[in-house]
Amino acid sequence: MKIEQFKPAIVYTIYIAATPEQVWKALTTAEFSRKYFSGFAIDADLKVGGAFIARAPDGSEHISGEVIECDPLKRLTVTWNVNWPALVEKLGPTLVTYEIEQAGDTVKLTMLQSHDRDISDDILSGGRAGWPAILSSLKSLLETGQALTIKMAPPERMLAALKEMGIGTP
Amino acid sequence: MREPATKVAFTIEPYGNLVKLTVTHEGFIEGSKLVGAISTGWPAILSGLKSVLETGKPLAIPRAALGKEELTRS
Repeated sequence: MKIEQFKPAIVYTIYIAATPEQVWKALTTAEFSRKYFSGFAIDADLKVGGAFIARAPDGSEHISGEVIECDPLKRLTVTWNVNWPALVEKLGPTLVTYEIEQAGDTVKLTMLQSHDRDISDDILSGGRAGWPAILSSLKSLLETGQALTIKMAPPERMLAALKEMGIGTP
Repeated sequence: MREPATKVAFTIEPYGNLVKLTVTHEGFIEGSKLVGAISTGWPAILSGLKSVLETGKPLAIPRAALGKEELTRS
């Protein structure tokens, strides 16, 4: 996989009143991720080539990925491959990069979702709706101690587009 | 050169006890010098708004982090 062939399709930036250590921990541990990421548990072996997994509340592996870049407290890139039949085969791998920068007493967190080919707006609509919800909840958790409970409708537009391409969806 | 006026739309949608706020900013000319700085600015403003509403405290984001000098009209 050539990382330079990937281009960001979704970029979301949020400022958080927290330290880089807190943001890094929130992004990489189940203790935090369960609270802001719909109950999903992140299990990350934080070294290049290490496994990056997100387990659904029922214990199944929803996302199976690998650590591609790891600069602790600053930058993490992983493959973010959702385990739906034929998804990676048809869409190619998805890369997610988190950049953490200190900005005064706050942290600027930037998430980039990148692909090695053009992905339709229909498919990207899932991430465009999902990332702001996940990262807003992470910010609330770190600033107030309480994550957001966001009742989101399923991403119908994305699911329909995936189905159309012959990708298995729940 | 002064760039023409642009349009900002704020959409507020209730989400249970929460609000989903969507900001769209459109109408920039081709090769706009403002669009980059404005794209940098909105996340800071909206992150600050969220903090004020949820914690009562503004975010202290230093101007340097926003590359404010880019906002100077040319």
